[in-house]
This record gives sequence, structure tokens and C-alpha cells, in this order.
Amino acid sequence: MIARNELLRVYRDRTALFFILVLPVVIMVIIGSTFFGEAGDLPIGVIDRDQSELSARIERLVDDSPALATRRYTDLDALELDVRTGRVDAGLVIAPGAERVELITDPIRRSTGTVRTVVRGVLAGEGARLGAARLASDLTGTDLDANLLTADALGAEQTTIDVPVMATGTPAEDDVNQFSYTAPANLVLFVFVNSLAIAASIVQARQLGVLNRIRAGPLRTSTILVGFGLSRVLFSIVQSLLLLSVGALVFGVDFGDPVGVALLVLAFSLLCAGAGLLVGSVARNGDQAQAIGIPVAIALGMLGGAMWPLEIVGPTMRGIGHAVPHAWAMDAWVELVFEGGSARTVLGEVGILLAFAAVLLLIGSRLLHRRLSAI
Amino acid sequence: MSRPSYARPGMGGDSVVVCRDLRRRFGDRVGVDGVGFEIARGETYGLLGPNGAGKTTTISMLCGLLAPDEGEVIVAGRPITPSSTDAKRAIGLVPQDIALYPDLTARENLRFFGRLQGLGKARLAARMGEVLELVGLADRADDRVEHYSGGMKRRCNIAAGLLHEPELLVLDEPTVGVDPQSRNAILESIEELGRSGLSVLYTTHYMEEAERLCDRVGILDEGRLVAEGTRRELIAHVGHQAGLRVSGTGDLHALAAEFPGAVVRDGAVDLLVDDTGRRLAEVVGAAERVHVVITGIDTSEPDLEAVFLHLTGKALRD
Ligand SMILES: Nc1ncnc2c1ncn2[C@@H]1O[C@H](COP(=O)(O)OP(=O)(O)O)[C@@H](O)[C@H]1O
Ligand SMILES: [Mg+2]
Repeated sequence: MIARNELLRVYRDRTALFFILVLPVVIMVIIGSTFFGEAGDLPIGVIDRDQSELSARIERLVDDSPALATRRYTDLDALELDVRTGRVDAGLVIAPGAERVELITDPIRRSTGTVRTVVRGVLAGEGARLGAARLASDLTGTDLDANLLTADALGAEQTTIDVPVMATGTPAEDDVNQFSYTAPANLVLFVFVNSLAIAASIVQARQLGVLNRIRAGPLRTSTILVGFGLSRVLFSIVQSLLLLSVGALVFGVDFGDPVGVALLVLAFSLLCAGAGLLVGSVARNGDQAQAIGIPVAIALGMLGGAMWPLEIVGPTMRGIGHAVPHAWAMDAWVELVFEGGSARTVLGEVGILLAFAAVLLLIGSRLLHRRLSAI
Repeated sequence: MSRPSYARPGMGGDSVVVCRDLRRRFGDRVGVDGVGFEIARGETYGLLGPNGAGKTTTISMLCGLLAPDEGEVIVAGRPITPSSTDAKRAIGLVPQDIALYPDLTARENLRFFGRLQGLGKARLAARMGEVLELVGLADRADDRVEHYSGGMKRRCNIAAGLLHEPELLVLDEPTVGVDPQSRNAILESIEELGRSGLSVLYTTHYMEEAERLCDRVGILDEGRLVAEGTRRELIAHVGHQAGLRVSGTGDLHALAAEFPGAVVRDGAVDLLVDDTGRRLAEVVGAAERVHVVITGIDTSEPDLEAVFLHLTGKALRD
């Protein structure tokens, strides 16, 4: 009876369902195709802090790459700003002594992964050459530049230059691509946004009097309540699964340990259902539910790292962010996707999400129960 | 106007509804203040009262949507409270609002509410066909409700209340905001349901509807049942008075002054009389005395509107 009721409720929401399920996928698909169409001329800013023959060589290599278009900078702040605002896709900083090359990227930009891969490829040979020369210098005390020439002559390939990627704070693994962060981030963002968006349907049911008609039928209040709650949990799970499939199949994201993913999706869906019930019982009308719910959901997404990684914000904001369940969800996703985490390692985050969910579900169903008991 | 008269409810005997002393306050506002009535099986009972009289509050308690502060409701022999699930099956509620999902078709709405009532697939399909036919929506059943006219929405709203073949159909102002033609169609289907033996509780603030549909009417005002009975019984409250309207030329005020309570309005004298024949002669005599030339005389039977005015000192609608 309940299950049937559930399916019907989800089915009833199918117009909204279409937008809710299809929209995020469409957005991800658009992102994907734009990305693939764009590769070939990625603007990259370069700061040369070394001004040596070696750094000039690195610059030339970058210049020569057909995939990159270089622009020179002297000021690090200006470069960082342009990376953030998207005037260039990444910034390459050659440190004094050319010992380190840093790549500044904006991890949520779709081109980031490509730039990283291309730059790493371009510098790979140079790194080998540099490594060999430096080894020679250290051993013989001879001039580095001279040894570099020797290394060229030998065509030595022993080490690669390290290109640490600032801002993402994650080790750049080979099975991680530019969607590895955006796919789970989108999931966290959209599943929550939509759970608040469909909260409007509870409000609508209340306003239309449909809720009264349901209550006039032979169902217990608790059955109705479970019906509303369960339909929302199912809804969030279905949406998550869909976005996960698209992320994995279309964008090649490896989400990591399936058990961990399942736990995380379940905990987050419970949380979303709780938030949905809460908004659905508090809002005065459907428009209010959406007008308040959606911006709030987006703001929470921003705070919680579903828009950009919390690693790039200051420690204060990171602290504030963790008052928001999204941050814990994203931590767990990062753990699973980037750090090879398992169900056991994300248990802490999942527990916190469940605690958030329990509180929200409790308050939400209390309020809705009250709404159901009095007209 | 000749309708079969149903057995009057005795002491609970064959009553489909018994409610006693229902009271409900909202904060310090009184919603319903001691309402009790019975509805016999097969009877169409009307609750007539102006906006805010307490009709919806009464119905909400009767259907178990709202817990009364005091009093009790028994429908088809079983007490109704917000937590009585099975007993609610006896009731088909047609709420005052159009309680349908606008973005679904009539058929989808009916399927949803039918399943909610626990109807099985085959029975549901059969019932959907029947009720859609009854309310005249069979050929538009696959249109979304939001594309319906006001009257069609109302009819679909009624259909949803009938699906599970309730013993008692409860309609809360089902013709509000409907054009005259649709209203007539709605009233006709309710008459048909009444003739078929269904018990009906009908609330309205239109006295013509109560007069046309209901075997008995309860008049509700400010949360109290001020009178109850058949149309004839209620009209007896007004006494055996009829309205007399005398139009003429001359000093109408002088004519009116001859009869206590008479007023001059729109070039005519209005007065209430208990014996039309005798009063008519007096009026003609008085008119001769004050040199009024009578150009016309109309008499009117008192109606429920007059009863309401008589009992409460107010008009049913303002
Ligand atoms: N939920 C409520 N909260 C406060 N007052 C209410 C509520 N429902 C009804 N009332 C009040 O109770 C009285 C009766 O209302 P109602 O039963 O809706 O009247 P009717 O249906 O006859 O128009 C009105 O004064 C109304 O304002
Ligand atoms: Mg009402």
C-alpha cells in the first residue's frame, strides 16, 4: 500500500521529475562536449621567476605546444586573478633556479584536467633532462648549464619534473580526470537543490487540499508521513544513481568503492529527504518553498564545497563550511574518488551525514505531522 | 418539487450520520459551537449558512480531518476521529477546494485517489468509467485538469469523492465559482445520486440549492444550528406569512402607514401578511381611502432566505 502510494507520488511528480533528473545530466553533458570541443588552444599564463636559459627553454616548450597559447605575466597576483576569472585556464610559475614549476589552476574549470595533462606531457622530457643534469652537477661539481647540454646529448631519461598542482590539493592520479571533482560536486549540489525544489509539491498538496483528501481516506497519518518521506528518499537515490551513471559512463569518473558510494548516497538521500520535509512543512506556499529553498540550497552548496573545493578557501570558511552537511559529503566523495577510500574510511563522514539527516527528518516529520493533524 | 419523502431519522435507528454537540474553537475564535444532527440513510441533508458559519469546520470534524474539542461523530455505525482509518471508507469527501493535481489528467488523478482508497485494479477501472460518465467527463478524461473549465474541475472533484462507492457523500460548496450551466449539471448529478439512494450531506450558502436538493436542511449561523427541518417546516418558522407587493400611483406612504411593518420601495408598498385573502381586501379598501390607484399586486411565498432573515436578522449573502 505504502509502496504503491510511493510510486504514485513519484509518478505524480513526473513533470518536475523530468527537469530534476534530466537537467543536471544535460548540464554535465554540455560541460563534457564543450570541453572536448575546446581542447587545442588553451590559454595559459607563464611567470618566469628564474630568467635563466633553462626557464627560457621551459617557456619555449610550452609556447611550442600546439595545445597551449601562452601569455606572459610578471605579477603572481595578476596571474592568480586571471586564472580565477577564467582569462587563462592555468598559470605556470617557474620558481627561481627552475627547480620547481607550479601550475595554478581552478579545479572547477572544465579545462583544468586537460591543461594539467598537456603541461605535464610538455614538461616530462624537460624534467628528465633537468634531473640528469642536476645529478651530474651534484656528483661532479661542474656547471649545471654545461651538464644540461651533456644531458641533451645523452638523451637521458631518468626522472620527471614534478608539477605540483596548487589549489586542488589532491595528488594528481592518472585515473582522476577533470570531472572527478565536478561530478560528485554536481551530484551533491543538485540532489539537495532538487529535494528542496520538490518540497514545493508538499506545500502544493497542502494548499490544493489534496492533502486533506488524502487524509480523508483510510490511511494513518504515520503512513502518509512515511509515504512522503520515503518518496523523497527514493527520489534522491534515483537521482544520485542517475548522475553517478552519467558521471561514470559518459565522463569516465571512477567513484571508488561501491559500498562506500552506496552508503554515502543513502546517507545523503536521507538528509535531502529530511530537508525537503522540513521546507515542505514550513513554507507557506509553493513559490515560497522554491524562492527560499533553492537559493538556500545553492548557498549551502557553495559553503559546503559543492561548487568549488574547500581547499581553496581560507581555514575560517572551511570551518564554517563544515557546519553544512555538504562539506562532509564532499569530504567523503574526495576520500572515495581521489584517495582510494573505502566504506570504512568514509564511515565518519557518513555518520555525520546520518546525524544531520536524523535531526532534519525528526523536525521535518514533527512539523508535517502537526500540519497533518490540524487543517 | 415533489420528491419522495424519506423516513425521518429516529433515535439513531437507520441514520447514516449521527453527530452530537460538536464544538471546535480556533484560538479564541469559535468555529463550531454545539452542532448536532442526524442524516437518515438515503436522505440528502443540507447545511445552509453564510460564509464563516462553520460549514467546513463541521464537515472536517465529520470526515475525521479535524478533531472536535467536544462532541462525537458516528458514520455508518462507527465513530469517526482523525485516527479512525477504516471507518473513513464510508465517507466520500468532496472538499471545498478543488483537491486535484492540476498537472495530471482526470484519469490519473482518479487512479491515484482510487488506489489511496484501496481499490483494486479491475474495480478501479470500472469505477473510473462509471464516475467519469456520471459527471460527464468521459470524453475529456485524458486532459490535464489544469486545462479544464471551472465547472469541469468541480465535476472531476466530485468524481474523486465517489470512486470508492461511499455510503455517505459529503459535498462542501461544490458549485462555488461555477457558471450557471455547469452548476445545473452538477445539481442534476447530485439529484440523480440522491434518487439512487445515496446519502448526501450538502453544504451551501445558496438557498435555492438547498431548496432544490435537500430533503432536510439545517440552518447554520455563527457555529450554531439555528433551525432544522424540511423546507415546509422551516418556512413555518416565518409563520404563515406571505409577501405582498402593491404597486400603484398616489400617496403610497399614506397607504403604507395603514399597515404596521409596511415599507415603500421602488414605487410599491411591501408588506408581510399571514392571511393573504383577508389582507388583500383590506389593502384595496385602504387604497381607496387614501386615493391610491392600484396598478398591480404580487404575492410571494416565503423561502429559506426569508427563514434565515427571520431567524438571524441577517441576509444569507451580503
Ligand atoms: N484553521 C482555522 N483557523 C482559524 N480560524 C478558522 C479556521 N478554520 C475556520 N476558522 C473560523 O471558523 C469559522 C467557521 O469557518 P468555516 O467552517 O470555514 O465556515 P464556512 O465553511 O461555513 O464558510 C470562521 O469564523 C473561520 O474564520
Ligand atoms: Mg467553507
